[in-house]
Amino acid sequence: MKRIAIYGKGGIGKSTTVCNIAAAMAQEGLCVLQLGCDPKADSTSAHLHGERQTTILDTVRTKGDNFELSEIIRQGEDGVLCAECGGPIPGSGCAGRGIVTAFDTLKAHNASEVYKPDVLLYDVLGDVVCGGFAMPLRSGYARDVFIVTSGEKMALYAAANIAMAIDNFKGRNYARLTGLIQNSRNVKDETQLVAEMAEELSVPVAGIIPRDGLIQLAEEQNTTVVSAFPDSELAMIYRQLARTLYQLAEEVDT
Amino acid sequence: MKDIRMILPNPASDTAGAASLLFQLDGLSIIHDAAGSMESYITFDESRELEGKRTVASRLSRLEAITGDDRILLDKIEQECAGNPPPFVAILGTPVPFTIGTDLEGIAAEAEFATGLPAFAVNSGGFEIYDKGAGEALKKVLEKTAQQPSGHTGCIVNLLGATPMDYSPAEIDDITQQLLARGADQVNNLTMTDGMEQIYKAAEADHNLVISVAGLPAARYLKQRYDIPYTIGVPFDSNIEAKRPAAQNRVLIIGESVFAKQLAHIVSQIPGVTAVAGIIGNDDTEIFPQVSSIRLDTEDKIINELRNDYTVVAGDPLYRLLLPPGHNCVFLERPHRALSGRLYPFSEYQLNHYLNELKRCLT
Repeated sequence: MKRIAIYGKGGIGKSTTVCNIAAAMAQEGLCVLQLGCDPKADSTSAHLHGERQTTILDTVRTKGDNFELSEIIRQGEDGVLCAECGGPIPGSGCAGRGIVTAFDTLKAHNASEVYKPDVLLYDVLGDVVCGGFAMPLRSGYARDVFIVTSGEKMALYAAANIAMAIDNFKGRNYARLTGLIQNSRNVKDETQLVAEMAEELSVPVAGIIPRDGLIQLAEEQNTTVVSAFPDSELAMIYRQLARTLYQLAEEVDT
Repeated sequence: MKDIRMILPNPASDTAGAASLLFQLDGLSIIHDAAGSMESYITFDESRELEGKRTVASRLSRLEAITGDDRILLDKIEQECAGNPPPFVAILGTPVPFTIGTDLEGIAAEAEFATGLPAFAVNSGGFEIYDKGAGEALKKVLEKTAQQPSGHTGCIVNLLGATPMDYSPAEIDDITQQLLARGADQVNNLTMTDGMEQIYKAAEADHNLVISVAGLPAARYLKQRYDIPYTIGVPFDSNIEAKRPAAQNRVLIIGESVFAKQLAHIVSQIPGVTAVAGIIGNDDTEIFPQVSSIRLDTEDKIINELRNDYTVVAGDPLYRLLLPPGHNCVFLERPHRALSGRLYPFSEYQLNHYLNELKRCLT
């Protein structure tokens, strides 16, 4: 099993990228579980025709421990298994702690053993702002981290911050930084800027996603580029990216 | 307001349970909590003498909690271990690290690397009852420090789950004597004896006796890791003769799961007696599944259960306060330190005292 976390600056296109990677992996016959780790709980909607998934935290809040895994893990038409951590009541509670609770809940219900996914993709909110959002990095969760970035200064800055957080925890057997994913914004010298950051961090650029109107078109249809425009060049780029991520990620026990 | 306790104190928390279990092992047990919050874990819940023991508070500052600066705790651990290395380092969670999502296991891994000593975290958070923390602490200290068995002669039995929260020292001595009388050559009291000797030798045992629900995670671990079988129960002398009481007797025994269910099981063998175990703390389906039981996890539930016209009720003296007005039951007192702390002295009685008293109370 591969356990991959995708981090990156807020609004950089993580969820879009993760959804396309997940759909591409599913098309290749892999069992993929995508776990949205953003309190907004909108990571997986592209697999579910824009529908919001009932979140793990909402389920725990209303049902305690008395629920089936099928109530928190839904399968999209593209085959991707979808779960959303969810978050606290807006303006209250602690979002980071919510992520910890959602992870503990999935573990307590043996989600990995029941669904036996080939790939577990964690789509993580923005930056590693607190202990909760570092949860996917901890021992026993994600093994490989990819950071989505553009050539924009703030995106690169956030990528460096995330890389630093991973480095800070190297004594704890946390996940490793495995690569960058360039989500292009047509910034001047973008590919060079991202490549320089990758070199600085001693990781490869796993793929370069061009800025393309198909992404918005697919989003308007509440689906992924890979599903809506399977023959497009962009879909091929996502499929190649999915293969690269799968190859670079380390096989770990469930 | 059903969960509010208006009369009874709260049972000890998972943090206190872990601290209690590790207390006599002479390891460094760090309760990672806000400065000044040791009172309930140690002053109230811990009944043994603190002097010479290494159960300490991390004295987490407001800013450390807000910024999540784990380095300060790690420095304190390294400092504490430098001159006088303990046999292990345990980091016990409390509501603050629980709420801010502190990676206690990550800190323990770093502490282990820095000090070269076995280190582990107990993921307590103050939201669970004592036995949960005690159970995790026992399993983890065994995982980290029990040595490979090297062969022995005679029959060795480990006692799993012994803490003063549930048993007095006199009762533990009595359990030991009962087991020796029944054929054990050696009884290892892992946790209510000073030092690590018994813990190191735990994997040598031929059999484990689980005397409280807190012993179950360790029993399952030792079974899985070293194939040591286990039995759940308390060795009362169940052969004591009892006359059939004149009337139908209904007995409620309130306490820790293994103790209460074992006693209820024996008493319910007497013709004309039905017995119910009222469980304080956690329960497990492996523990005397044939015994009628009810989890009494709120004060309301205890009050309601005591309205059921029991002829005999056994439990901590504080439950007397919840008996309905004009009740006719006989109340048999056995202090439960996980509930009443130091309010009552430790029982000096042998275990069979309670069984004999229960039988004497039957009408």
